[in-house]
Amino acid sequence: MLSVLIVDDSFVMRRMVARSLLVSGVPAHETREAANGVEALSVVREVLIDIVLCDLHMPGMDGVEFVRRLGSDAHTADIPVVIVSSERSEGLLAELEDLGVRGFLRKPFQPAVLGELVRDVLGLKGAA
Amino acid sequence: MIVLPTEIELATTTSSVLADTAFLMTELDADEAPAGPGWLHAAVGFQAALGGRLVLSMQKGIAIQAAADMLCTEPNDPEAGAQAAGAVLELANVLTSVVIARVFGGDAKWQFGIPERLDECPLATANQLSYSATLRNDAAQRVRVLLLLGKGANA
Repeated sequence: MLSVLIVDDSFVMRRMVARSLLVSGVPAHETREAANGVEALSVVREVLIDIVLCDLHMPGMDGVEFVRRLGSDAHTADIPVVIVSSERSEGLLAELEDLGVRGFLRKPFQPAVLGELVRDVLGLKGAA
Repeated sequence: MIVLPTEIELATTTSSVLADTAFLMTELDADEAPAGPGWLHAAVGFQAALGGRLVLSMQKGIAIQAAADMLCTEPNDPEAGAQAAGAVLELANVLTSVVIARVFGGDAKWQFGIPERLDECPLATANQLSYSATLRNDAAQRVRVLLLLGKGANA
């Protein structure tokens, strides 16, 4: 079973992302949640995570710093990260790409688009 | 180039974000709603060519409806009521990113902050440019968006 970590300071948005995964037919998965980068790092160090869906603007530790720290740890560097954010700054998106982020989805998003992106990043094309 | 929004553009953008994010159908309300008691307010500060702040205010009923839609539950679910303010914060966050991209252009550099709850809707000062629009749903519940630009607007 896939393990998906949803990182967003908004409880409402975490539930929306989780719901979108369900309705978009992402194969059997369980979701875990974190409200910022600090909590997310704690989760990935304790549990095997297949993919992280991460917001950018969060108190405590933001998404950019989380991605940077995830990539600098050999134990977590291979976990794919997809950014789910309302951020539209091209410069920041380029920086995230350089840090190894595998996908980017702007809010608001359609559930089907999120599902397709997750399947694509995980190499599950055609699996629904 | 800065493209300052008209009331109709601000309303159209807000209506689109509310529909896409929270499945709320709203339209421009010709009456300027005074956002008083019974409203929830969220603000997001930003810095671009001009500093600014976007304030989204929603009457509690439509905020609960938004939370229910976003959580895929019903408005009478206690969780929808508990998350109404959270829904307004998230909607303000998404709306700010869309509005500043339209005002300052997709290639411009900007930063925006974390949404914060306000007890009341701020008033523009003499140094600020102010743009606002009011929308309503078919139950006459109102949403108000206020864009403040200029000195002190993002404080």
